[in-house]
Amino acid sequence: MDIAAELREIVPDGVVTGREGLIPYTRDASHFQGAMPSAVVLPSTTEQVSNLLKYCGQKGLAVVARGGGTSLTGASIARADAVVLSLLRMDRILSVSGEDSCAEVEAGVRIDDLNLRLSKTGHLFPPDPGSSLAATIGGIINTNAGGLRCVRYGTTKDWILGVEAVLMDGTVLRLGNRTLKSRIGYDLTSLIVGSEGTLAVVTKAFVKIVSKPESVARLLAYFNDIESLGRAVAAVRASGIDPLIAEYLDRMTMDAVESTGTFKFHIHSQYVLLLDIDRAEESLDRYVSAATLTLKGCGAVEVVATRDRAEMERLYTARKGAYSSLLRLRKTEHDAVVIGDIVVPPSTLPSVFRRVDELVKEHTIRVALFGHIGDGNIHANIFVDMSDNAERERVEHFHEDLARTALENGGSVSAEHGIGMEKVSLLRMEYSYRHSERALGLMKELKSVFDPKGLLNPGKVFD
Amino acid sequence: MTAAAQRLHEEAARCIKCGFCEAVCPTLPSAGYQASKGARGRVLLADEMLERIGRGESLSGLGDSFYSCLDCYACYEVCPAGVNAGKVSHYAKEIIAESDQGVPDMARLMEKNIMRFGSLLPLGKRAASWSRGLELPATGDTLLYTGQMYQLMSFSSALTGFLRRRGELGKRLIVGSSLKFPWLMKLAVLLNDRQMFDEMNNSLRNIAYLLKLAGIRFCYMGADEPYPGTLMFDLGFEASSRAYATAVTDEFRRRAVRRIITVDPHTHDILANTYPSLVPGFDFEVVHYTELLGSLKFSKTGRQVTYHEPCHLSRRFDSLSAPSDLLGRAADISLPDRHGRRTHCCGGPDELLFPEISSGVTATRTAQLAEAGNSMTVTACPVCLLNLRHGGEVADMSQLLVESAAR
Repeated sequence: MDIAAELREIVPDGVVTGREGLIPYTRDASHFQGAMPSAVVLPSTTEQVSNLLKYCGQKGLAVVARGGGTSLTGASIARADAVVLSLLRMDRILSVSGEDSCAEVEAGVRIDDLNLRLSKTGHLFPPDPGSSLAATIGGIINTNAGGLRCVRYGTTKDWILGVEAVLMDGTVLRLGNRTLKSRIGYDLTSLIVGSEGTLAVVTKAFVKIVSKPESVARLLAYFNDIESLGRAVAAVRASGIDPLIAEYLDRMTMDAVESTGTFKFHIHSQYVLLLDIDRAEESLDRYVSAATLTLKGCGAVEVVATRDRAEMERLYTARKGAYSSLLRLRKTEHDAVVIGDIVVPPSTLPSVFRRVDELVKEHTIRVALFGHIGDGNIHANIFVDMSDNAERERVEHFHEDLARTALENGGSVSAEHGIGMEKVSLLRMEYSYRHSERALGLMKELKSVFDPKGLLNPGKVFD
Repeated sequence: MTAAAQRLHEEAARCIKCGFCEAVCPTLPSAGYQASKGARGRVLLADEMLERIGRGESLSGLGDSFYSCLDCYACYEVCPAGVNAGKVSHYAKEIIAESDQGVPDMARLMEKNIMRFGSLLPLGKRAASWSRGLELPATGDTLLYTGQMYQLMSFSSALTGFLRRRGELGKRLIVGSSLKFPWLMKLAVLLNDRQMFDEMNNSLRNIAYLLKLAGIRFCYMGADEPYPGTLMFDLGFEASSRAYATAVTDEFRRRAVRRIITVDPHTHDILANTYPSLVPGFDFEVVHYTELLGSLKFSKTGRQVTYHEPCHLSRRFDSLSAPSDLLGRAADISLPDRHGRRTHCCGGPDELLFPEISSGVTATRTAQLAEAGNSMTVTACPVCLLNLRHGGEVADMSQLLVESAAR
């Protein structure tokens, strides 16, 4: 019996073979072209996942778990021959409990679908990566994804109470539970969060939920220099206003957003800061006035506040779609946009921005900047003509210099997109900079404990 | 590279593979989440198609992905790069039709029927039976054009049910025979859901009544009225569609028509958005009947209904708010979570070629509508009505409007 037939014994109606069926699994949202999988399997239950992994383990077949296929670093495509495990059929929201502040969801549930369901009881699952429309719970757990609300709520790891995960030998682990506290030895749940499908396949999660903010106002503060913008963010936070989101966009990104028709900015400026302030209804206007004064005091040339739901939604959509909007500015179909994902302590942002500006000029490349300024996360979106080797080399050097700048300022080379295939060398750079190469060694040893044959998502995180 | 291949390349090359389209594509979950039956998969397979064309290779095996597209454009609404995966599928189908490699027999049969009978099925006088006694003139400045859509529902529903019961093999045999012997289609119209037929006729009479009440004078082509060719165009038969649309337009011109009143979303969409590109000089004013009823007095009927917005009205026409405005005056309406430009397809367009996918999409939509909490759903499309009825009580908008206007 061939492999496909044996896989069909485990998942009778969920095995895809044949070139036409497999091609869509060779790409995710990154610029990498993945290898053609030998088969794609779509299990519906944890038991099927367990049997599949056990089978693949025995046969020595590599396995790449995939959710919404929205990875920006190539984490959800195969580097070489592998079985792709699509978890989209595991799309049930099993329970929602406001009383326990917890929801129990299968790995294939998309984030926006979860939040739509939670909104009916006034709740929210805070992690909100730009891809939340398509990204799944399993995917964001494995990426430890962030998003706009990180400045207030942190990243995915802060919202996962427990996971059900399947090891390569088929063992099903139930780690953590629906309680907000749980001290049961080493925190294996946290180990799996951010492991990019290299340790186990997540099939279910207990996620923490919160009540939706009562009243929110959205402010747009326009600036003509980035340092004033950086100072303004620090001043707002120092004044005791704890923003729900604090995002910035540069001119090129603003142009890209406007070109999509999603939003028209009020004035022409070099930068815009997007700030959400939430408070009780009766005090919100007071806080908005205070923030407006602070922002103007720091050099904002214009501040516009809105509480109009439709306009707020348009703005949020525009910001979440910023990366995608930038892709419209590609000059040829050979152009790709490589995303830098560094993070630095917010207090260092003014000097980091100065250095980034120098680097862009030094390397003569085209870059658009935006990011989660509230938590120091800068996305440098670098346009690169993939058919131009000299340009690719310049971009690679810029990428490295950018990463070095983050490290020199106490930051990190990767904030929220993960390592995947893209940042393997940058990960090495970070641990080398910290003289902690042993950490990488420990990770590899851990990987071999969980997955002795190295079959889970090979070629990701490490070489 | 052919014109269709060039159009396909221009649309697909802008894709950034983000997967947003896949998250809203109704066919993906209904096809068991096989990515080739989702919007992003279709765009990726378009790249494969173009590569094969470049290498002079066969296109076989690619068709199912594109033919299963519902043409609902949900993907386009969320695409940050402005790619319309629905159009990608359309251009791919044009290429398949042009190359004659892998055109499904059912699609070919529909093309042949439309070119031969001027409709999907040879309805003959049955198509005009709703207008008996109304004494509508056959020529005039303003034409009420039903496009036979309401009339076809009871026949197509009975026929697809008949084919489904015959299984895949039986269906193939019947479709294959009908391709060889077109007269068999005349037998097909003997299959009719009589109750549905009467209901659809009533809807058309309701629409005519409302237009008259609003003081609109119009003509009707009766049994000579042709189907607009929508399905043939959707299936990618570009050359036939061009010739057919030209013939339909000539008939409009022969009757001195200047303004065309449409009654269903598919006909409204193809006349307003597609005919101008198929027929040089197509300069008719195309209006949906609800746009002419604003002056009527509607009173609340006391009904609480959920409004299912048809994709071909809510996504193809930015400023067409008349259907929901009128309905809001006639009843208390609720909208499901997916509404407006994010409405969800009823599954109808896949019924002929991919009945299982169609059923899955319908089930998803009926569940969404049920969540809105009313026992009755109202829609303005006979295709949606037919499909959504599998999940509960569904009424045509014209019924409520007549009830409301009569109060």
